[in-house]
Amino acid sequence: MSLMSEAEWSLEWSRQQSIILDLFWCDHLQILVKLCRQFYLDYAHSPNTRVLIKYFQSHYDVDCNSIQLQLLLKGNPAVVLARLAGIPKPKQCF
Amino acid sequence: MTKIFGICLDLKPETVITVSGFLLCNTLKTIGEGLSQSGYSKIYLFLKGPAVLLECSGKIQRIVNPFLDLGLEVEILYCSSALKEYEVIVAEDRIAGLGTWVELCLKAPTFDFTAPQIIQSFICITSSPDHGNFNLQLDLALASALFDTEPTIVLMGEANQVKTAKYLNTANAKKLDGAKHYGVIRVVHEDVLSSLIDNLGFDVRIVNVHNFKNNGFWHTIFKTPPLKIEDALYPINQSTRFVLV
Repeated sequence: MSLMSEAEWSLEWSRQQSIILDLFWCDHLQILVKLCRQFYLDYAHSPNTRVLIKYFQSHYDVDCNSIQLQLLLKGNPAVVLARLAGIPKPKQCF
Repeated sequence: MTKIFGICLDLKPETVITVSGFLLCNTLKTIGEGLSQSGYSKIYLFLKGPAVLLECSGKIQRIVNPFLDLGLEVEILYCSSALKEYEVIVAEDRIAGLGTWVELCLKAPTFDFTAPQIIQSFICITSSPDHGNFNLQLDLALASALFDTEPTIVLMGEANQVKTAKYLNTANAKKLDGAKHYGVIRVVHEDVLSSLIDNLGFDVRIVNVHNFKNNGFWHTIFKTPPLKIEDALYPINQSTRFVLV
């Protein structure tokens, strides 16, 4: 999944992806997807799960931990969120 | 100004007689030739970790001889906090260190590395932002930070260009800006380290020094991009510096 431009990407597109992935498209997930995309736009690389959680917690007062994310996303949170956010798949090992 | 070059070896003695050891010796020979042509007269050879066993196993000659053949003086120093563990007995004036310990070891060669030290964790980035090594070194730094080492990233030499307007909106600069989310405490200029050694009479550079704490002891690991013999190594014709192999 490669980066989609701002014009191409939308929450509706993400919602459709979430249906394909059999995910529950809730408000919480929408926020995480937006933040994930924002991280990419700000820092020019896709974050891994641990960094995402730190980013969520330190900047946006979003309550999440890795267990919650795994339950919500049914897989590797960073990879799934990257797909929903339309950004490149994160490198799992630096 | 005395032109001295430092090389840190962190390998097991048995590695010297393997293919990797052969390639390493060739790499060292390449470095030696470059040094010789650049007016260097002396090399500090830091033996780190299991490399402290090189001398007593007799395999150190394979590494030292290429330098001696080029007319370079070699001084072997021991840079390990586990000399007792390795059962290596060394004269105190041959015990030394790298990284933030450079100042200490040069001012006080008998500095006791067997005691736990509270030192900051520095990870140095040396490559130009135009070079692929910059991204590699930054990845190493971020990966280290993820292990809660709370490091400080030190931009050295050409790496400082990343802070200039030319690179402001590049992927590397943005990625560096995001380092705080990985646990990096701060990103600083190399002057932070240089100020430690300004009064010592010669310039010392450090490449990718990373300290971490384990079982109450501070250890130092060194991370450099994989070296290939045909690659240009670090610029060695300007000032005294240390390269880690």
